[in-house]
Amino acid sequence: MNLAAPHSASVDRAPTRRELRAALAPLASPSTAVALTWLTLDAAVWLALTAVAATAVPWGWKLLASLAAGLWIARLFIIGHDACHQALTAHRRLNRVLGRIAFLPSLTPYSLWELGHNQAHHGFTNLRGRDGVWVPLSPQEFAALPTHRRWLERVYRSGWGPGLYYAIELWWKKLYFPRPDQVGGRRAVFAQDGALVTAFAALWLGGLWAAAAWSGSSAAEAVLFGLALPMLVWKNLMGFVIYVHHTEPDVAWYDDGAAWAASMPYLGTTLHLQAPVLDLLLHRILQHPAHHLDMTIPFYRLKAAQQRLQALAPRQVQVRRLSWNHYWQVVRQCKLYDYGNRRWLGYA
Amino acid sequence: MSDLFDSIVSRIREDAAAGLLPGHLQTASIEPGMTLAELGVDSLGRLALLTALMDLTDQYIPDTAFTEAQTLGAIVDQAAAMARPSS
Repeated sequence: MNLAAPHSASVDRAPTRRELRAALAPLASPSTAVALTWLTLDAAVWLALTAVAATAVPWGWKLLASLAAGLWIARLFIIGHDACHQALTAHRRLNRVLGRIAFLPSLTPYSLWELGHNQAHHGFTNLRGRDGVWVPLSPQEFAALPTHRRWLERVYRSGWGPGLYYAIELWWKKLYFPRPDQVGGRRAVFAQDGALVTAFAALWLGGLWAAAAWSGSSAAEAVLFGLALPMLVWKNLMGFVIYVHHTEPDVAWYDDGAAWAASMPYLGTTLHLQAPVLDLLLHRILQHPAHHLDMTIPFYRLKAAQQRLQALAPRQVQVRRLSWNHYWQVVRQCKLYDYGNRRWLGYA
Repeated sequence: MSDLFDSIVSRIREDAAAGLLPGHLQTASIEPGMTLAELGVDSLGRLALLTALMDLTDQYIPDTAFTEAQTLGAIVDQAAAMARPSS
C-alpha cells in the first residue's frame, strides 16, 4: 500500500498507526518563530482583555472583555499543550519554558498536565484504568455510589456540567497539588509547578486590585470580570472540548487492554468535529484525530494533517458536524457505559 | 544494544530532565542489565516507560511486561518481540 498517495479509498485494510504517522511526518515540523509569534500575540490580547475587564469601563464592555479573556485563556492553553507535547518548537528546554508560561493564565501545572495528558490520556485513550478523562461508569458502579455522588455524576453529564467536571475531577483532583494516590506518585516538580501557578494567581489578583484602584473601579468587580468569569469560561470550554471528542454513541470505551489495542484506538477513540469558527478560535483543536495520531504536529499544521488523514483512512476516521443538536443528542444518550457489550446507556 | 534500547534510553533522559524520572538519569550510565529498582524507577516511572515503549513500537504493551521482566534490557526485548509482525 502506498500511503504517500492521497487516494486510499480502495485499500482493503485499515492503515496501521505507524503507516499513518509516517505519512503525516512531514507536517510534524515546528517553527520557533511561528510559535513565539502566536504566544506573544495571544498573551498580549489576554492581558489587554483582562485590563479592560478590570477597569472602569461600561458594563457591556467589561462583560464582553471578560468572556473573550476566557477564550484567550483557552488559546494560550492550547499553545502550552503543544509545548508539552514537544510540538511547539524543536527545542525541548524552550518548550518546557514556553509551555509553563502559556499554561499560567489557565493555572495549569505543566508537569502534572504532562503526566495525566501525554502519558495517561494519549497513551491509553478511552481505556478505563489508564485514561482518566470523562471515564464513563458502568450501571453497577453508578448504582453503588452514595446519593450525593450519583447526583454529582448526573450534573456532570447533564450537558451543563463540563466546566464543573473539569474544575473538580481534573484540575482540583489531578492537577493542583493532587494527593499522590490521585496521580500515582510524588515528584518535586509537581509541587514546584503548583507553587508557580499559585504565585501567578497571587500576581494576577494583585494586578487586578491595582488596576481597579488606578481606574477608580471596584476591586470585587475587577476580580469578578478579570479572573472569576474568564476562569468559568475557560473551564467550561475545556470540559466541553474533551467531552465531545471522546464521548459519542459510536466512540467505544474499553476496560480490557488487549481488546482496546485490537480496536485501532489511534483512530477509533476520538472524532473529527466540524465547527469551523470554534476550530479557528481554539487553534485547530477540533482537528482531533490527527492530533491523537501524532501529538508532535503543531496546531497550525493540524488542519492539513487532518485532511491528509481523512484521505488515507476515510472509513476509519469518524466525522461529525458539531452542532447544538449533536451535543444534546450525545448528552441524552451517553450517561453510563456497558463495558461488556461496548455501548452507551442512559440512566435506568 | 538495539535501536529500541537506545531510543528508550533517550526517552528516559528526556523524562528525567522533565522531572518525571529521577534527575540522575539525565546523565547516568543506563545499561540493559540494570533493574528498574537500580534505575530508581517507581510506579510513575513505570508508566512513563510503558507509554514511551508503546509509542516507540506502536504496540500495546501490558503491565505484565514490567513485572515479568527484571531488567530494562529484558523489558525492551519483550516489547520488541511484541511489536514484531506475527501475520
